[in-house]
Amino acid sequence: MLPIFYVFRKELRQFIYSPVAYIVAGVFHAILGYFFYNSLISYARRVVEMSGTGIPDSAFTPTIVVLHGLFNSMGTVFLLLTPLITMRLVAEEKRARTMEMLMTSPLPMYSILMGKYLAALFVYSVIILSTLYMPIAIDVLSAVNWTHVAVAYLGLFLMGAAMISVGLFASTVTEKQVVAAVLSIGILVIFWFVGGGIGAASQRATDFMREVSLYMPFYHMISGLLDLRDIVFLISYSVVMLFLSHRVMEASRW
Amino acid sequence: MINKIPGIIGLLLGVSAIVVASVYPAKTLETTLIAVAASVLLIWFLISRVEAFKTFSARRTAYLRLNTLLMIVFFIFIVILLNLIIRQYYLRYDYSSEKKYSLAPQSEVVAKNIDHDVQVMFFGTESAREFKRMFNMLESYRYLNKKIVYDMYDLDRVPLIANKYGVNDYNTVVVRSGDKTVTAKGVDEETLTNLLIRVTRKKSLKIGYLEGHNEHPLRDESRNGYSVIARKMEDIGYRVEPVSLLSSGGVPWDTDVLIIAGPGAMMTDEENRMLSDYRNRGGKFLILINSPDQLRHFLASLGLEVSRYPVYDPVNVAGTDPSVPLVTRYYASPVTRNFGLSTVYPGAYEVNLVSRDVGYKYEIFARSSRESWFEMNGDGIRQKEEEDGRQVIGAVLSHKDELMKVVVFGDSDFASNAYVSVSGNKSLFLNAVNWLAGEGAFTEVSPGKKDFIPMFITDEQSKLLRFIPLGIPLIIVIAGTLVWYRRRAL
Repeated sequence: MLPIFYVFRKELRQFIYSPVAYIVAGVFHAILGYFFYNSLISYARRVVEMSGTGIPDSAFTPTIVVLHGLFNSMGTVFLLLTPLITMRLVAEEKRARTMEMLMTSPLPMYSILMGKYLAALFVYSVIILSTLYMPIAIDVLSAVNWTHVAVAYLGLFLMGAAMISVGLFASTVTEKQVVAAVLSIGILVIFWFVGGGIGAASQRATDFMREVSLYMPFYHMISGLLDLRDIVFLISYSVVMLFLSHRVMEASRW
Repeated sequence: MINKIPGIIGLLLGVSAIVVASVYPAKTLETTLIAVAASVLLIWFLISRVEAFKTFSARRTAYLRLNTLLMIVFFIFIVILLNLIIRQYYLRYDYSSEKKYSLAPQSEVVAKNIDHDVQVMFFGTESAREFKRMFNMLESYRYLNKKIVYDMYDLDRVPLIANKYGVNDYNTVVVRSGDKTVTAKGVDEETLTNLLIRVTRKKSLKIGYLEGHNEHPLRDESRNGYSVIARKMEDIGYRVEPVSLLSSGGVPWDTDVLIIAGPGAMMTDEENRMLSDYRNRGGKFLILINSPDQLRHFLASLGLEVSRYPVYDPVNVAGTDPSVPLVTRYYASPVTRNFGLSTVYPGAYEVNLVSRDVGYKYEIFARSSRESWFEMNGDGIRQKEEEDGRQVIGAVLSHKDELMKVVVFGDSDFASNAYVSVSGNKSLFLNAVNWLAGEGAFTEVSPGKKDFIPMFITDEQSKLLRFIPLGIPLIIVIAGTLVWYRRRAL
């Protein structure tokens, strides 16, 4: 465990001293903050409108109308931003020719990868936790279903863990950061949008696409459904990607 | 060679587990056992290969690549198997605010008590919201009972399967169990739960068809007969049997619904008494009127009256005369829930509630158009003295304290062989039978949570909130710049 911690600490320092994490967090908060403000105002306006027309047919609460939409947007925004966090993890080491040093160090390969992975996941977690002001603000203004919100944050965390594992894998196959970012965005977009499965060649293809989609388990969790299958799927996805990264790094030894 | 055997057996068992899971989704235990055995063997094989891999690593790279590829394939396969096992036995908790992943208590009881395999097929449009809603609902049923398996179909993609089950409309649910198949239209929990009740019910429901008064002949294939609709009722699991009041001494005890389809002769007092007895013991009636007189006494006991003259309506099917009113819109009622097809009523009469003293709840579901009138002289032309307005063609009668239920149509020809296949006639008739037979009353599923939480934002709060999209990113950028500047200065 100790080697993992050393790599984790070193990587975290890299994140703190490089502008990338701040840019990612800044852009993320600018986009989400705008959505949040608009959703709140629009919700309050609809409440006033409804006072004339009566209570709506379906449930109308800030958790469902405002927060669910925001969580969904967070997923889509992170689809594009996580590759920026992960693109330099291994690719930068390769470009700077420091990878050879790491490879020849007594550190096992898995601890190098896990340390880097956990550092990126930590940065990601800090960013998502920094959005907690949104449900808190809504709770102050109205009321929030906190168990629903907790499940949604778990969904965001697991989805982020899967996305970062893809980013790490992409970073291991190239020494160019831009290529790593584009590759991981490509993989993530495919696994994100196949969820709908609409327009697939056949009904079976549609069913299969729904099964391998990253979006469906995430959607369930931001909707408040805690399903063991979704949790295991997202963890499996991360584990497979980490294993692939490990194999790619091992292969580079030959 | 020997140390490859677990790998080969594991691989074969793994493939078998996937095949069993996809072909027999209800066999969860068998799938789990095969998948666990496969996973154990594959993990054993993989661990033994890692050792071999280490000792081999000094040798040729071609073998290494092959080994790496094999390890990746085996690893992914093990992960797939583990997911397969979890999919057989999993937990799920609905923490959503509106409880949209939970079923009503009534549906839970029905789902948990199913003791043999049930297949649910839903035919809809993939991109529609209903498709997703049905998917979530079916997942909830399956979670409660693994014997319930389901398939979601896009109707436009699977015309052959749709034809096989007689599905020709979107959002249709077909439920199969053994040799029983039941069908209904709708994406709501109540429809699905009632279909499950029907398909798993040990005893098939008996529909009695009143005979002996020159009604539409039940098995007659002619235009006037009811053979088409009788076959359809049998196809969806009902037992349709003729009932003669006088010879059987009343409506038989095991009759779940009694159909009275356009009697051409008056009922005797004795027969009216027998019908009243059946009503008093909670009988369900589907009454189809063909003329104003024959059922007058019995209908009067329900507070109903049939119009003296037929309803003529200029809103009719192209090519027909005004004696065939066309109804395209329906009032909300248990019979017309999720129903939107047009129906035609050749030679319809109005059936109206004239006495509210009897305490029945009267719900109109079908009316002629505003331009319709009572045709008094049969010339098909509206005269000044002919009363106009929206005449009632279909209504539901129920009582809050009594089990009896009545669906009454002002026309009996609409379900005859000549007209039953026209647009939605068949579906509406079956809806009425289904509701009477228990679909509406058997399980009234309580609606989902519909919370409403208001939120008001004052002007000051709005100004404060406006800071968020700009303020927070600005703080982050300033923090980043400071860290970067200090680092650079070192």
